[in-house]
Amino acid sequence: MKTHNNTQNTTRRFESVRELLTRPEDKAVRDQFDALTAQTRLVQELTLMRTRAGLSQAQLAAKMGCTQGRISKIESSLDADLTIGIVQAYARATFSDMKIWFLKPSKQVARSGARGTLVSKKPHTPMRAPKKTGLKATASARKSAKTAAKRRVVSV
Amino acid sequence: MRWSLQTTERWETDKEWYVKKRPAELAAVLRNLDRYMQMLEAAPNPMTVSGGFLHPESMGILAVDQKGGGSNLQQTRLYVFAEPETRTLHLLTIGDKASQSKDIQFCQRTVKNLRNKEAR
Repeated sequence: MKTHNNTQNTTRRFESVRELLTRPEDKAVRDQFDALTAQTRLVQELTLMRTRAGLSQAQLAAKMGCTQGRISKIESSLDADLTIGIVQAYARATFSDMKIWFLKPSKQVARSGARGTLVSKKPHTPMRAPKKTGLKATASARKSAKTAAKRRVVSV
Repeated sequence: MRWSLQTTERWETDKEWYVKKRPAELAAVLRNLDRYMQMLEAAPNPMTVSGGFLHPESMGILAVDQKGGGSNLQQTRLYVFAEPETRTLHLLTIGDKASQSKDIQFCQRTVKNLRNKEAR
């Protein structure tokens, strides 16, 4: 059990929670903190949508037609436990537009394996520029095809 | 102005103990603290922020728990006190069920001192 010999208030200031874990001996905690953060990005985004709308869990539950306990459970779950239906319901209740983005993982993210749930597991097959048929593809059409291959957006 | 964190010496001591003895609990509680910080930034009124991992105590003290950090974790509470005027979140102490009443007493004394300092 923890003990205290001195309870004087010498204080230090930090700009973020992660800054509390910068020493080498904090590495184990830092790694677990980062893993938890990566597993709850979407859940946290839902919580922030509710907070920005100024709603309590009970108020959101009333809008979504479920219990406050259900909202509490959703907001303490992992991204992997969410369904598209839950995300849609949050978006509707907080008057938010919903878009799902599939992005190619950056090299650093791909190496660490910490993709989160917003990024697809397999990289996409790049979309090819239009084949030369009778019509000539303009430079801007080729550019937009390449951009679309890199970033695909699905509106729900 | 963004919210920042201010620690007490007791928090620093407790954190050391948790880093060595209960790193998983500490990571889970800090993840929830990070979520709370983001909610403070996003909320139209920071004092109305609510969540399943937040437990209001007396004198405006809030306990952040380890929920969502996985199963088989010891019940852990990180006690914080928010000052919206200076956008400061004071990290008071961290403990478990066994130390709960002593922790809350310490938090109440600390918050009283903070308020007295403010009044002067």
